[in-house]
Amino acid sequence: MKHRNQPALQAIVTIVCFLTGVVMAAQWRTQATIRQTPILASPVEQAYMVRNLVEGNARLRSEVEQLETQVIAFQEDNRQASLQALVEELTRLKVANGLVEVNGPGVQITLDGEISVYDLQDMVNELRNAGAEAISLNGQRIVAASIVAAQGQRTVVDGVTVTGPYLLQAVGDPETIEEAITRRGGILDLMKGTYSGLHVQTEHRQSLVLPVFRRPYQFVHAAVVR
Amino acid sequence: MNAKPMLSRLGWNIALVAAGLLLGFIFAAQWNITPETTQPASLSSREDLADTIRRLEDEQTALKGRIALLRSELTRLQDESTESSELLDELAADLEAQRIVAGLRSVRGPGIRLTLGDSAVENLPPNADLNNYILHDYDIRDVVNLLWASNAEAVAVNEERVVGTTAIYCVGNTIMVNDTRLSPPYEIKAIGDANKLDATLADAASLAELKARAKVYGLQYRAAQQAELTVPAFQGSFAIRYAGPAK
Repeated sequence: MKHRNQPALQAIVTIVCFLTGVVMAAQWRTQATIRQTPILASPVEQAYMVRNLVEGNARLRSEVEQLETQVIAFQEDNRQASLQALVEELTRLKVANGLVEVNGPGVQITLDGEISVYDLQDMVNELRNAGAEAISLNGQRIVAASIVAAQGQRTVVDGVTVTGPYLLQAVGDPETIEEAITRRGGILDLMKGTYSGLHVQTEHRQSLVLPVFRRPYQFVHAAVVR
Repeated sequence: MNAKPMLSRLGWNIALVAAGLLLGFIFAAQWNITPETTQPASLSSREDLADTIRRLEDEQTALKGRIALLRSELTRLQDESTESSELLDELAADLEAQRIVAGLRSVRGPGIRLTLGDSAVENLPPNADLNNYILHDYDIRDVVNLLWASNAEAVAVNEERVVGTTAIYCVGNTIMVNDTRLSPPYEIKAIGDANKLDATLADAASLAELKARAKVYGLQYRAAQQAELTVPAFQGSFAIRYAGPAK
């Protein structure tokens, strides 16, 4: 019986593999298409893109190194090292998730004037783009799922009403962050152009302490794909 | 049955699998390929910058692939770890919970899928403001913020997971998410209460400006509830260099 089914089975396996190959190539081609998309940007913009990629890749390399250290600790069955690696991994994820109070150098920006929630959202986006590792707005930690919304005339951050002047604090490389937001044609430049009465103050800080994100994370609808 | 025929049959099967994969790959790679118009070689600095960008993008792709490999290897090693103690088990459980929150796990569930794109209008009226006809980075940001505000649990833009460090910005006319160039149309997926997400998006007060541009200038804007969709894991870095726990 085994022998009789063998050719049929092999045929099926071959077909499945053929189709898998087709799918793989389709994905590879999609990727290739994006790569070949011409880069429509001025030289200045391209230089900006290069800088972002260089910084982003440096972060990726540092992630690779941290992960390699953990893998080696496990493979060598070094109990102390793997335990330490787990604790470090836990800490940096808690920092990313806003679940620990963090401390570090960075930039503090005060915005005094009538601005919209969109401006605040754009500021947060700009700080993330500049590599901020933790952000807070008027003493409230901002994470991916944070809600900065307008309710009537009020600005509400994760359920808490905040009023101007707005204080944004970002932990990260102070020089990079400051340069990103204060460059000509950058976000602060544009905001000053839009709101004539806006008063902006930017300062480096050696040590900022940002609070914990308090709104609980909920996963009711999303299930992990195993 | 002795071991030898088994082995040779295994070898035969492996050969078949490999041949099938290779054939399929070649077949699809060749499919519909038109001879690329080779661009004239240029030595301008503009061309050099574009080359640099492509080289850096290749490096980014390679690094992301390496990270994905190391993360799955690490998960496997942690799962297989024979060493078991209350402390280790507790740590592993905490770590898994943090990974889910951070977006390091692919998740699936009900939700909404939005498709956004530049205007399909071909003949623009004279003196038309081109800005009205194209989709901007801030349009995508507004949609993503609105989805979080409707209690989305996971969000992705063109398969780039939106996490705490994600910036959505543009360089020239190209929209970037997680420092990766996106090409239109833009597909935004969010997992959560599908009815709530749909109702928020449908509210006339939501995304009023974007919807008006869709109506007047023909920007693509489609939203559809989904019984189940999958949002991929974040492939980037959570490396921290400046922030440390306060105590």
